[in-house]
Amino acid sequence: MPVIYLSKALYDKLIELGEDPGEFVETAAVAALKKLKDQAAASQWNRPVRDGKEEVR
Amino acid sequence: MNRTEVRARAWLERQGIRGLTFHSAKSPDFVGADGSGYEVKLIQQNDITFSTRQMQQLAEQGNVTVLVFTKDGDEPVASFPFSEIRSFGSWRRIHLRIVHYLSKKLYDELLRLGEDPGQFVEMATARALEKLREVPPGVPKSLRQFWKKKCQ
Repeated sequence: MPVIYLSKALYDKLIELGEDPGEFVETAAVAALKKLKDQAAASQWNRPVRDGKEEVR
Repeated sequence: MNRTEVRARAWLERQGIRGLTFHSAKSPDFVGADGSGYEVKLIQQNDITFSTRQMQQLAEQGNVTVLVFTKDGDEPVASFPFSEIRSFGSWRRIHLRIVHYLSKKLYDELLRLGEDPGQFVEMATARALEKLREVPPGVPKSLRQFWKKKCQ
């Protein structure tokens, strides 16, 4: 299983806020990934189109 | 039981601790008849590593002693209460490292998109905390700036 390191400061903050660090980290990453993919998809839609073809710059 | 756990069990028994129960899938590794917990760790350089799940389980257990072994020794090079390293992040020269086991699906997706999974997750978590108007003091500014740039 892939492993990532967490800073203790971040871990402590999550505990202080009453969060489950493992769950919070996973949820935050999934949300950020979704946002990244949505942005990528949106920029794809906004590409200029001329004569039915995508403009190449 | 791995080799370090076998050495730890033998050492605990030499100390006269009886009625040890071994937990292969949860922490602490051993629980004595009196309810005391023992978590066995192999030291690498000066670090011992706990997963987020282990941190939670050990905190719930309460009375846990961490037994630190080197690759070869038959007795621990250090033993101390888990609460010490949990609070201060280190015990003498031994430092705590916290890891999280990320789901493989998420990890692979991040790699596919050219992201560094560790950095991405740390930033995503910091960002989520910022949304809560709570900024952990230990998060480096460089990470925050990188994240903001990405979001622009």
